[in-house]
Amino acid sequence: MLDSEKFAIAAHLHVVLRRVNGRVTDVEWMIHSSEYAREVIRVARTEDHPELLRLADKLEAALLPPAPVPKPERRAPPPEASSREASDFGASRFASSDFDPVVPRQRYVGTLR
Amino acid sequence: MLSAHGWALAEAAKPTAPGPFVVPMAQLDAGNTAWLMVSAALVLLMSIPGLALFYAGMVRKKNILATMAQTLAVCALVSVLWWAVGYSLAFMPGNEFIGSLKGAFLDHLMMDIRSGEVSVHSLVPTVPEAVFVMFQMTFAIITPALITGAFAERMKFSALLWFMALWSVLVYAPVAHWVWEPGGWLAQMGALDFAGGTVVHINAGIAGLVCAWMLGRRIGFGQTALMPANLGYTMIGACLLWVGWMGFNGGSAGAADGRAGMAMLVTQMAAAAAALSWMLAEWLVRGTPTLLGLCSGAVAGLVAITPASGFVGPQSAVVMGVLAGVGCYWGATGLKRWLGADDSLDVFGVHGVGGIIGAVLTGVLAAPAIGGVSGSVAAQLAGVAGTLVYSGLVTAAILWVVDRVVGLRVSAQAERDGLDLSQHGERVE
Repeated sequence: MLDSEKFAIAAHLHVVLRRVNGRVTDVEWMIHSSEYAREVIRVARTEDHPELLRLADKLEAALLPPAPVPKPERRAPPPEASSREASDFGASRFASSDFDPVVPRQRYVGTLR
Repeated sequence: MLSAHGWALAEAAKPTAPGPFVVPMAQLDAGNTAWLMVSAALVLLMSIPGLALFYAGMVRKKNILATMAQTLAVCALVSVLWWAVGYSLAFMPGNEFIGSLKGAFLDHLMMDIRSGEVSVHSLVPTVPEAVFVMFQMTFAIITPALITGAFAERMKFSALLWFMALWSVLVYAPVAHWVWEPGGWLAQMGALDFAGGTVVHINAGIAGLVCAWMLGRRIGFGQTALMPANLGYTMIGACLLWVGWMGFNGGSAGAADGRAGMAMLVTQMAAAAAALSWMLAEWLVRGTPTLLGLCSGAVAGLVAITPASGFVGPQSAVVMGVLAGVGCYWGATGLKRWLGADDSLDVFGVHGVGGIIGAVLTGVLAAPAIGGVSGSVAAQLAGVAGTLVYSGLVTAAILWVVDRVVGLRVSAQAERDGLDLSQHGERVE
């Protein structure tokens, strides 16, 4: 995710938090300090406010991704697995994370659109 | 284009032979002439500044001016070449594959106010040939200009000029002759291409893909984010393309008549449907409906309806738009990754794929009540295959030659500095 997108989520949370309980947060510091971001998310979750809860979840996903689970060791694929045969195409492309709406892909890396 | 000219207008004027001939000025139709003049200006507007802005917004900031310079230079270069040999090779009678040089430097063009005579082309016998030359020139300009998106941010400016000059003469002119000149082999086979789905978009799309392959990937491609400089420019460019496309397709009727009106309507419907279908596909797959997606979808729809715009009604246009939006979204994402080439601005994904979808669907959906003919999928596929093979091979050959003469690609340092500075000595502050 781009920094600008993280910044946008943090700014949304900042505005809603100020409106709901009057707390003022530092948007820029949220991006730089995971400790501060974690505390802001905790405070947001103490309010029973659906918009705050949604933004807190979103910010957590953007700034504090869970530690990656180590993958089981994989053998190198046989040569034909990387070939460009049509039969491989659907499975290999659509199974990739690029087509998974849950996993945010890194924008503009290897593709424009 | 051929269809409208060949069947509607030529039928009215009954020229005795293909190619230019001289008529009394009284035979000209003021309405048709005015519409073709306006259309030529609209299509020129698509290239400068439409395409220049569309592309400039998608490259990095250090390459904005170079991208704009490329489009402008192609416009000037191709205009001169069209006058010198391009028009003659494309639209003068010759054999099935190429025209002749009888119209080189437009020597044959006649306009004598004293005798009251003017030359016209048999494809549009009620419009002065000078207007027809100009209208066709704008198509000849935008086609190579489209290719620049595929090798954006890494080609030498000198190499670009050599490549574009050779490509315009050796690829664009012959393919235009095949499809639009009545003696061309695809025209005789019955391939339908009202406004350039094959001649312009498939042709540019495959050439772009070959360029992307032969030039190689940009430094950092696939590793770092190559951020578009300003998608606001891209939106303005896309809208200029959308508006200009009314002249592109509407003008291809060669007359200010009902068919031109229908061409405009289906153009609008396909663009709108494709913008929405691309947006929805992106929203479902990626979770975000982007401005770039909306712009790209609109262009995809415009590309797909281009060959069909004089042959289908609004219902078919919506179907074509929906399929083109989704198809081109896949072309610019899944297909692009599969192909592995750094087609920087998705020339093949949008123009190549959209052009193929449009060409094939024209064979399926062409309505005799609108265009006077039924479509043939076999003839459409022949047009697609012929263009892909010829354009792909000759493009590769031209690039090989240019690489040997001046080199295709800038140095790594020049690429890092950006083409604005390294090629033109200017930059956006």
